[in-house]
Amino acid sequence: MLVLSVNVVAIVFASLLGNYADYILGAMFIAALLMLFEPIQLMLKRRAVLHDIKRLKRLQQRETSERKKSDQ
Amino acid sequence: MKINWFKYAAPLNFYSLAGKVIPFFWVAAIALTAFGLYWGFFKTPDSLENGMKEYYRIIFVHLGSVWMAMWLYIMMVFWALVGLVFNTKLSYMMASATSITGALLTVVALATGAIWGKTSWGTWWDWDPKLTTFLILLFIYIGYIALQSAIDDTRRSDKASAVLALVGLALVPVIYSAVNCPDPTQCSSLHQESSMKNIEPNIMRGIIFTTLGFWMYSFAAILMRVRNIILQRERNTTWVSKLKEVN
Repeated sequence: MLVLSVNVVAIVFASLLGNYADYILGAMFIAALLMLFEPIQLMLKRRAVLHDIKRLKRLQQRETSERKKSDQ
Repeated sequence: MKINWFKYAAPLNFYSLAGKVIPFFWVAAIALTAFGLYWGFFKTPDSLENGMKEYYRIIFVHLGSVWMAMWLYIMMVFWALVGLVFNTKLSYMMASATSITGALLTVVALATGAIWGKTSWGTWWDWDPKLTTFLILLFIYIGYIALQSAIDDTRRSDKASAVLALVGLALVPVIYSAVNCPDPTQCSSLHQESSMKNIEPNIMRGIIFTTLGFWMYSFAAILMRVRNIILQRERNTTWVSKLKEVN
């Protein structure tokens, strides 16, 4: 969200300009969009990896408890 | 105080260290970029002596991304080389994490450069040495990422892509000499020569701050990605299963 706000501020700066504002706006917008995409993608990826590890851990715990039961 | 740097070559120690420093890099990235853009938009002249009008302000995102794209490539090669020489897992992970941020900043540089080209030369693209070598840099980044994901065995994919990164290093001095051409008659193109020596001080200040902001952004994004890679590759280890976020 912080990165988003900085980029919004950048876009507002750009729109304050008269001529060529659309070009400067375009350049800022592309940079902002791509540089925002990366941290969001990284956060989603982290969630997915953690979810995967938790699932794996649960599976291992279940297997261990079932093995203990069958041994008894 | 003596710091044992080798301690942080272990994924376990590096994972926690990276987690602690990431917020500082984000704060620095946002503050420096915001200040650089403020300076660039409000403290600089509306047009330059060489006839460039206010569209020159694209330089504040363009130049930072160009420099960082090249710098990150050098960093990626450095980590790949450390991995090849010392066979450390973390070095390959760092190289892999750097490649995606580098590719993204190359795209930013090419896109903002194209918009700059449209305003100042009247065309989005020109097949001149400066632009073409930068496009090849993007292809090398993409090649590195593709090679890494094409081989399932991480040890083999790390080594193969490290060799590719080393081969591609030859391109960085070519890009640099294309922009700072010693004999302009030999490489005439629409892209202007580097004018960093006689640049207006306020413009220079804006460029330096946005570039530093992009640098901090790269640190933050790379460290975030390397933490994800560590979790993915070390998911079967006991230290990962004992992590607070997993429980």
